[in-house]
Amino acid sequence: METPTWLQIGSAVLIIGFLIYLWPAARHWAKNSPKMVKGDLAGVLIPFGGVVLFVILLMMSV
Amino acid sequence: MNRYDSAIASGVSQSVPVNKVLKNTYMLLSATLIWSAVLAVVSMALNPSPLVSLGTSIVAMLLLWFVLPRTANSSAGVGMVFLITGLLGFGLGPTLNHYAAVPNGGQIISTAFGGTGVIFLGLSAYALTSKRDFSFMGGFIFIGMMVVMLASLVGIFVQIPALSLAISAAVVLLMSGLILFETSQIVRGGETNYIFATISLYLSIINLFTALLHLLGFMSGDD
Repeated sequence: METPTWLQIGSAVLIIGFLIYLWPAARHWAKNSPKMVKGDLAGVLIPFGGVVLFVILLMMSV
Repeated sequence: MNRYDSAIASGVSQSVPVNKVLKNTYMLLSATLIWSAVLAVVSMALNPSPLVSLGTSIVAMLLLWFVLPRTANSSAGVGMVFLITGLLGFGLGPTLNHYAAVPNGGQIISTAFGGTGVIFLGLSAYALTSKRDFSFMGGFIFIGMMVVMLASLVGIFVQIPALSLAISAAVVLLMSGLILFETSQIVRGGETNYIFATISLYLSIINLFTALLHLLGFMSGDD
């Protein structure tokens, strides 16, 4: 089904608004995020891997 | 100053006990999720046009942007959180009605709902028990969200199913990262305002839910 133009424009306005809202935080964290230390990568890959496997399982169940 | 600046500026200041922030955040988050779900059901029953849904989302964004930062340190902030989450919950109505109308729509919605709950609880438990510092993910998460939003902007006008699917998959990963990041910020004293913590976790949950809804809808051949 074709999305109405007004809905496309309204959605674009909403996204641009959130981009402007997020920009200061993105700039701040890009500059000030602490460097990754040993063990950090594994500490993130374990939960992310769990999420990916779980979502695949959900997608296969429907 | 951006709220994330103030959060990092406060460092590990323990002027507000971490347990109190955590308890208040989870209590307010539970209440706002129930409130939001009630309004989503009301919205499904009323079946408003997508224009109403878009309007409530824009009003919620404006409140989040201009009003919440001014009220976050007073009791009015709690009311503002309910107003914002209520508007976002009401805005979900047309999307839920769209999925409810497809043959196995009920299963898609309930699977996305349950899946969101399991992912949120699992990641929160991991961040709380491991007590790891996930602040190194801040740059990746926020830049990632901006890239996804730019891709979504393109996706509005150039409707490519593969792009839409990739965006939903990226949103699931980014919101999972944001849950770990925000929970670790609370646990380590980097986030001392439970109103900001609540709204951040709420937005992660609602975005995770809609992304899962889209992925499951796509798999069942709806999108």
